Amino acid sequence: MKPSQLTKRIEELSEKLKPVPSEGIRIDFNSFTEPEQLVLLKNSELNDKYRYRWTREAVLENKDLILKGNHIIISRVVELFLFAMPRALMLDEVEQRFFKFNFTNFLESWIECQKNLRKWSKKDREDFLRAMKVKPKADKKHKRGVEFDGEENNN
Amino acid sequence: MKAWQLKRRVNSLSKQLADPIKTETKIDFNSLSEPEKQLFDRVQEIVDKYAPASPPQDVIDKNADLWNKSLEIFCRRTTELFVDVVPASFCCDELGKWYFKLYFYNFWLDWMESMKELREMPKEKHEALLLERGEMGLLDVVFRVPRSLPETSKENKTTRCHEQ
Repeated sequence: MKPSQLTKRIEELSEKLKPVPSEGIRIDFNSFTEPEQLVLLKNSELNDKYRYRWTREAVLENKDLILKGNHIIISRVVELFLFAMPRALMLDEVEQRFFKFNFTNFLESWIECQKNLRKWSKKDREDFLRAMKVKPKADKKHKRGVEFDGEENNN
Repeated sequence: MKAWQLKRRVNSLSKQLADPIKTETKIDFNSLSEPEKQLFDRVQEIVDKYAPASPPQDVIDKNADLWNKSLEIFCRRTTELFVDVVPASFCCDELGKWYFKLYFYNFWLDWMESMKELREMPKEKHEALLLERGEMGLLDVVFRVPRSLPETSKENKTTRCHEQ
């Protein structure tokens, strides 16, 4: 195979290997019970009604419905994650236990973190966010920054 | 309401509470990309061919690439759903979402580390650990591990999420 053909073939293969985007992953609506579906449909109606025009009053008026909808979604997503992941990863009993254990600790720590975050002033939040977005300077000593989720940041 | 009616109503409510209708949470097949759908269809074809039994090991081995790829996609998509939906449903702002990702990433790394240690453990030790944890009734419960993060000074406590 000539170098030009090889390059072309590599390009073709690279193109095929690129992750194919979808519109975003969703839960099958039929997974929800009928009462859950009713709450979610009501929430969807509210979204259509107030899209880009949500007011504090509208949120307070529909607070229970919004919170219940969010509660249903969170419970179902957590349930799916906890049920599906250990099975898809083919974990044995001990490994499943460690998974559940680490997961519970992560969720509790994050909830605690959220509580702390709510105590921050608006200025502190903005300063922190700004600092996060600043491109990290090269660390001469260690020659690498802190890695987060495949991307570098300076926090 | 008469006493017997009240009793019947209480019994009916208790029954509903004791046995709530629960459905399985599934990913919407239509939200997957076309190549992903094709892959899952192919795996489903094999599963259906041997249903209600599981496909024999040699068939699974022969189609290991298909199997592994579908499991990988399933894990990736489930994680994607979890990471996108949970902070959004908690109405987190940009900072809250960032912390969620940070904590999630750390949970994942901590767990992978545990897995690595567990898988390097000799079989006897692994089985003894399983037996011990089972006897202690720890396999069905989880608890919060006390955090022991370094404190730089009394005034400046270092925590993952700074208290201000």
